[in-house]
Amino acid sequence: MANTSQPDINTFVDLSVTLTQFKKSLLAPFADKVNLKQQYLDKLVKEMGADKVNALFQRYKDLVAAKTSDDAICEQLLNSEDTSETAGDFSYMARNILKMWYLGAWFPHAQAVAPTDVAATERGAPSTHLMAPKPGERSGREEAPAAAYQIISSDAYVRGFAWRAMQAHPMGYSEFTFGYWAEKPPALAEFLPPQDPPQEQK
Amino acid sequence: MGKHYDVVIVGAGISGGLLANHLALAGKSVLILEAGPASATDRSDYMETFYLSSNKFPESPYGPAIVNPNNQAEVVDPATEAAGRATVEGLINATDPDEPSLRDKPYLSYLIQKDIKAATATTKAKNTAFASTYERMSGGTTQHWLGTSVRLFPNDFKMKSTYHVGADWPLTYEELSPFYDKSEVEIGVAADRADQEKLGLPFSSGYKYPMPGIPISLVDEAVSKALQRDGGMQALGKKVFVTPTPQARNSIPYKSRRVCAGNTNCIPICPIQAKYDASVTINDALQNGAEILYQTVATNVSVDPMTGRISGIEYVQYQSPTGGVSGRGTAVGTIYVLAAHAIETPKLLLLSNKQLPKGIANSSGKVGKHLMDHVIYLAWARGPLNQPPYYPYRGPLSTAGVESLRDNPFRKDHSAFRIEIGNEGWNWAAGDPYTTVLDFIDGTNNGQLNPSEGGKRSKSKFRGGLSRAINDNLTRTFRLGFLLEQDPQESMCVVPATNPKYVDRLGIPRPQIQGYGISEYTAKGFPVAAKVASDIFRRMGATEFTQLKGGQQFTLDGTTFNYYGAGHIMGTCKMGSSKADSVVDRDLRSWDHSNLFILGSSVFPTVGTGNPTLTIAALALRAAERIAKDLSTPSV
Repeated sequence: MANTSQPDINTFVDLSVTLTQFKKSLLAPFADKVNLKQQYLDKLVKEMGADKVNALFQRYKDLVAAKTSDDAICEQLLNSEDTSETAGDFSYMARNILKMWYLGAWFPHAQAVAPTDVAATERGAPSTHLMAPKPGERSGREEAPAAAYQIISSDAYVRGFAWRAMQAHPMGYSEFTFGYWAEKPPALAEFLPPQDPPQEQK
Repeated sequence: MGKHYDVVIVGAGISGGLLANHLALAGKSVLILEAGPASATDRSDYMETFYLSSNKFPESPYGPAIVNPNNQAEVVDPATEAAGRATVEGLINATDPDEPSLRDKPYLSYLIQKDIKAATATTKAKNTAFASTYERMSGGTTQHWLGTSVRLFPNDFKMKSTYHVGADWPLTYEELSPFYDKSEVEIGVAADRADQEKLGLPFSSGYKYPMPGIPISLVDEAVSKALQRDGGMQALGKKVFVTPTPQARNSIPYKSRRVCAGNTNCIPICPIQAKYDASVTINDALQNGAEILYQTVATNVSVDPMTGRISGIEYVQYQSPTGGVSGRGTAVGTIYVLAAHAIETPKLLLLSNKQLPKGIANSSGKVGKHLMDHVIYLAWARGPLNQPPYYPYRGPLSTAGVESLRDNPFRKDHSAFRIEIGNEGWNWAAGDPYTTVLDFIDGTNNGQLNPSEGGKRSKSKFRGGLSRAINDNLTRTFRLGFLLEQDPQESMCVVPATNPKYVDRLGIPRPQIQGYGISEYTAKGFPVAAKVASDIFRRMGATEFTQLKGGQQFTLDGTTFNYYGAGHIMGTCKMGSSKADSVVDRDLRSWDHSNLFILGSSVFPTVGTGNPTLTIAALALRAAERIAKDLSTPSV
């Protein structure tokens, strides 16, 4: 039976921590004026519906309860060999959660590549993803290659973790000072502080 | 309205601004007519629009709206807006305007691109749209320029006598040099003279750039080191070496503007205005007494049939870009200046005064002709994984390049090029970081850095494996952009749209590009550029990933190349030494109308391989002195 109650923000944060391996305080600071976690959960629910999100959260909680390792949880959600629609939804949602945290944007379903569509993944195939379509391709097409993505908010854009993972900053938002680019950047651990070691089970 | 000004200027870009300020300081009365709005003093609206744009094209922060902000796949029909302009979104959506299937559909490019599937015997051009864009607002296209402020080389001014290609300018480098000095001081260019002198560029005795050079990036250092190894690299009979780029970007606080903080966003917008844009000069001009009418579009340049002098410029005005005409008027002055950039200026001349058979200022028939750009060959690579990263996405978008190949003996046969080293990784080349990050998450390989094994789709990456893959790869990506010169071709031109349905919201015909393509002279520079790129990457131990994509292409001797527009629109009101074959003389005065001047890159008879803005500025300051002198002479 579908659960359409408002999906739980704490489960969303825990799942996000599991998927990204980022410190919880990075994703959900104690004093969270920007509240990106809520923006992202709201977007997920808006796009997928509360029932599907709750189903994902239940699956996640079941895996945790079974003492599944973090890596194994991610493999099960993202890379399952199960071809059912439910497994496909779980993979799609888990991937979009990663994309929101890394890139601050939502990527519509049309952009997801089917696992069997190997031709699109090999080098040499023209990049269809964000490249300009040929002249004429857009007019009259039913399935427009939609703006490739929707930035969720300007806060989301400037807080994307992809830029940190490159030891850089979002294009258009620098907190550095003149000349910094002539020096090596701080270590990756400064940009993405490692998680605290796991608490001992009591 | 009703007032008689000393000078009426169409266009509040860098030319109009520098001229207006110079004249205002000299106590002359100046009116500027600007088609677009004022530049916002608070940049946060532009930044918000930019942050929320899916496609962060150069025009994305500015108006009028290009896409529906709530559904950015929906392009706004340019027929519904006033003072539109060429945009990359329009370029993507441009088709043959006479295509029968389009009859009842809006044409989603402001610029009408005719002949874009035309084939020529030599290049078998296809999809060869004119690929550069501009803005219409206070500050003009300098709102979204990179800030690169290089001088043209002495031979750039004499291509015909040196290489038997194109034309000679009626001006030499030596004559323009003092105005290069002045414009570098006026707009604020950061560079070290010693670096530029290594290129053989002559400077005025005692001249010093107003600001010390911007430090080069780690990407630049990596390229530079590789070029110096093993006795150095040679190409086209010249040494290949890296030169820091003179840039209109503050390296010290200058003219009350802030120092660059390396936002890596110069195109399309500097969040802190450390990059010069001409709204600064427009504001100076207004402070010094010039007047301006915004949202005021010139529609007709009138001529007095008795004297042949310009007698007025008619205009329409609008309140909102979609609201239609809200007012009309005529601006009257002693001297008139068109500075509306190289597409709108010739369009206005060709639309004006139907009594003259060829339009205004066009006895030569050259108005709108010889449209040129710098076309770009883009090459991209990733550094070796067992060597330290280059750390791109840091600093200005470009801080150095290779200038040493811009003038070489092979220019008699094919285009030379300037090489711009990019600091933005594969952002332009492949849509990074989005493309590659998505590849790692989805298991795809659109960016080429996530090849699959055994023909199966790759698994999704996650946790530390994902951030490590991003770090390993994206800290090593970079690109080189080769700016190739187009030689002047009379058949490549701008005209007002021939189909009456292609108007803007004010009923003004939109500009139409005809006959544009890549000539053999330019096309033959591409394989040379491709080889230099590959050689540089090999020296660096980097793996090349350049590949053919959709977009603008041409084929030469069986090889197809992509090209991009550099945003450098030039040539359509050429300068020359004879009334028969040029539009303006060496003072930028129209041969046909003694009180009409044309400023901007439309006057360039050839384009060299250097970004044009500094030369535009130098010409504007030179013309300003000429115009001020005219106004002080009683007979004018």
